[in-house]
Amino acid sequence: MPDPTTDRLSDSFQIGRASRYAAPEFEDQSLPIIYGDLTVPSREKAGVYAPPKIDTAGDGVYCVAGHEIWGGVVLFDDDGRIEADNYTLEVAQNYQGRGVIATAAFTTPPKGRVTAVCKGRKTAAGGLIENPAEIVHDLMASVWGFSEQDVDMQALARAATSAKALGYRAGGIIMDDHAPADVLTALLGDFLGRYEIDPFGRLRIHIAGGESFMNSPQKVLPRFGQSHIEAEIARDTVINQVPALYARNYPDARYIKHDDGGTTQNRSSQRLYGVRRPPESPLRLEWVRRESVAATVQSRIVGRYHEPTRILTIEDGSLRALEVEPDDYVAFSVPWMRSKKLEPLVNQIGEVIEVNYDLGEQGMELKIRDTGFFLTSSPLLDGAKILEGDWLLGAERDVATYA
Amino acid sequence: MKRATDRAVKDIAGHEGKTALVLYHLSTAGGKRVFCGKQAPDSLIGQGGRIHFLDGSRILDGSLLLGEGAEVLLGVHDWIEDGGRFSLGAFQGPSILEAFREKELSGLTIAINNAPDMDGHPRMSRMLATEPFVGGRVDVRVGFSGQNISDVLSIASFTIRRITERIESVTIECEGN
Repeated sequence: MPDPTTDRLSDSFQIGRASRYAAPEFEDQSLPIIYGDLTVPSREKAGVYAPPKIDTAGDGVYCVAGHEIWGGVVLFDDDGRIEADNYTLEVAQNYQGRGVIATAAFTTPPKGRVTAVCKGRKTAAGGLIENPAEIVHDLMASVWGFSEQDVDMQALARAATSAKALGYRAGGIIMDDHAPADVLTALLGDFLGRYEIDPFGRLRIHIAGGESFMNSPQKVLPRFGQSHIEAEIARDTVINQVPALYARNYPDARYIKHDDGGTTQNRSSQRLYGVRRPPESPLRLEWVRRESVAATVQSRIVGRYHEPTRILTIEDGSLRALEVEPDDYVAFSVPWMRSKKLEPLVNQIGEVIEVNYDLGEQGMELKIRDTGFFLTSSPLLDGAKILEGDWLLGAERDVATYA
Repeated sequence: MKRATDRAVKDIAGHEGKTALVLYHLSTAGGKRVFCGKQAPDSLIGQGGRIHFLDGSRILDGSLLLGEGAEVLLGVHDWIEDGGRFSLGAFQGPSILEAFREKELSGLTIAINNAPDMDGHPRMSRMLATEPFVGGRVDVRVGFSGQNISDVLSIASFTIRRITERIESVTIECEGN
């Protein structure tokens, strides 16, 4: 039986430090864990992180990464880009027998502080790991010491597919001791993704995909009593412009790139509700380095939240929605509420945002985001319907009772 | 959507007004104990055993006991006083964008009655003295009477972080894994 006290998401993970080597410059310096393509955006005068000097002998040896890397290394010092002739690069070297790292051994001493860019960890097949879901898998299995058994691999594959379809490519560095849960939140949050612990104790990740065609509901909720349902629409939920900072520069904890969100703003929403930005604006996208990826994230946030979101809170005192989890799409009916077309809200499709269980009272509470979509009916054209212009084929709300 | 048998789904859909049986499976290095609010039938408890996903990460070389019997079942106790509450998908902040960026990992706190056993000694205190509860795992499951172990629905999994022991009750605080 595995020891349940080890390998926990909320426990601090100790990153490797320079102290493991014989003559480092500073023993407390961490060996960076690098993902993605840090050569983007291109840098001419300085790199985006400062590799630790792990050996002061001779002209010095720097740890470019605390693991094998894909390559693409460029080093800089106070004079700018360092000629490749001035150092010997090893993208995978078992340095001093203390594990495989990437090193740069100088043959001509650099001037001042050394900084670097590179392309980070790679797959067994040699490809650069950039997909955020694949980064999560690599961190879990190869860095933090979890086993495949600790990850819901099906959910991971779905998240990887979503991320790939949306063109998401992540890049970033882990340079401090950290709780895996914090890194997961930061990494996935940048791409509208999140994680849960499933009922079997496994990590389950989710990256929100496109909504208009992927949200066929997994369950039709039973009709709950009127007193157990409330809806809230708040202006705070509107986001119609997303200023963003991305391409982090680690030595000075700043961001190289800024976008005011002008190209992805929604002007019609702004006319109605004013310019509404995220609560913490500008959004700091720590794991985003590319303009195209930042623009995708910005436009997806605006696309999702440019209208006030109706959040329904449903109290279920009978546990009849027990199988429902966050990120599930469900069909729900609240006939006393109305849709935008003033129809009774029947078979409306919602995304489950939060599930609260009260096991003492044996009840649960669901928070559901109204997507605005609904189940549609599919009438048989058997002569019972006359097509005279009062019928929207395939677009009529299905008013049948399913649960 | 959580994994559930067709029969469990049918039970869930049709049990309005009835009482579900919430089971807390506490697994420690010493074995497993099942706690519940009222006595649960054996058919919903099983004989212990972790669920192993045969996805290629396990080698069936004789070192692993699959399913029942893989863990020692030490006892079933209907001593739960307060089953606690927890959230999935919880977030901080006013905007639902925070569901992605300010994620919270929910915990669970349950209270267990510590009444004296037949020897007059508080029964939970006796267990706490000998079994390594802290660091153990709590699996929350829900079943319905009349069904069997395969129809029990797994709801969540936690790790025990802290235990507060009082003469009348024991509080077990858990955190998300």
